[in-house]
Amino acid sequence: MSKPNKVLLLVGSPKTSSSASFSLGNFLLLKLEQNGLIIEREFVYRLIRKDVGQQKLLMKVDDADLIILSFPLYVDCLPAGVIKALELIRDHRKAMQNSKSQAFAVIINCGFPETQHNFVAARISEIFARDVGFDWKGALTLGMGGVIGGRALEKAGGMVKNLILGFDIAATALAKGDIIPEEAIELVGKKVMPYSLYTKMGNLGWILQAKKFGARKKIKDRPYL
Amino acid sequence: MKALILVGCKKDNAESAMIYESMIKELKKLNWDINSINLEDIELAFCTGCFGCWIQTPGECVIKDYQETIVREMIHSDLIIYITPITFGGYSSILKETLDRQISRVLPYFMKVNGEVHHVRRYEKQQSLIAIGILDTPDNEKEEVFKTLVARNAINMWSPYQKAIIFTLDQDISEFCNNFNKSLVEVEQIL
Repeated sequence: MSKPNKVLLLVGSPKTSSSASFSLGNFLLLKLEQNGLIIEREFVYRLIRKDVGQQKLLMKVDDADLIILSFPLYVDCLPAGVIKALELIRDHRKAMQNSKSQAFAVIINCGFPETQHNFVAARISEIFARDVGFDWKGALTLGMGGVIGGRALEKAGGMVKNLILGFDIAATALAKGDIIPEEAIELVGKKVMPYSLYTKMGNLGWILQAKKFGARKKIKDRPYL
Repeated sequence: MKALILVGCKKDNAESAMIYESMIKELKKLNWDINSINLEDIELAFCTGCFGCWIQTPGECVIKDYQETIVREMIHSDLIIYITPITFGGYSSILKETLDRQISRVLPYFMKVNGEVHHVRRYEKQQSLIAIGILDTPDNEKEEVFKTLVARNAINMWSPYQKAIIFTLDQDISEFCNNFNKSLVEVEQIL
């Protein structure tokens, strides 16, 4: 694959710019800009609801040489809105003739501590690339997405140093038209804190958030019995 | 024995209609009470990822639409059945809209299950899961990914039984019926 010129980041979180998907995708996007690529970003959930947005999505995808889709894991796979976008792209490309060579990569984050929860979604993304004729560049997957939230990676402190290093390596490769190196995948997938600490903090975090809504004692409610 | 069928195919899909009719016959043969929801007919909002169903109105989505009925039906069923075109190895967006909004069925808290972290269940009663995936042509990779996805869903939603059944368009419907019937019997055995 030749060196890409234009890169499109598709953010697949309904939380749009306040999501971990945006923070992660945007970090990689800016690295690609530093590598000389022209960058664009769009939010899937803002585009898929209406015809005009759907047309814009397809136009932006057609125009890009490299598409990076960054999304959160929802119930073991891609969020519904992201699947809808991929279905639209598939149907659009079926009707196209002589489509140009385009590359595709994904960033997947989940709230579980282990990154392996994302592996099915990565396989689905790869099959999508195969079905529509995109050149598959790989998946960067990570657990503990809740640690990043909507913060810029640069502001997340030393615990994300492996993540940043992994994205640097991935950006250099993608800018050359190469696949994401295994080293980058491993660095991005490394845990940012011990699993036990993450789950303890997570469990406490839910209690504190529920308290804000006056729902602390209702967390275990069973409303439909 | 109550079964909830979630149809995640487009209504003009002849194969899914045929499969659906065959499933209903098998379920009736074994005296299941059936509730069926054609998801294409229903306007559901997308999950917004707000976690309101865990921290604001625990157990209930903060968006008030037909999803409330779907989750209620899920909780009172013994078996949930998905029908979906296999979409890149996964579910259709039509089916996934409702699945994204079922996380109120579990608690936000983490716990380890077989060495991996998952969410704690909210309700005592759990639902078995049978997922019917439709493929135009045989595709080993899509089949394998679909089966893995269904198995992962079953772990996360605490299903005591799970089965993914693949139907390809060149397949004999009687073979599908036998597989489906066998799965129903297996579900009954653990009830």
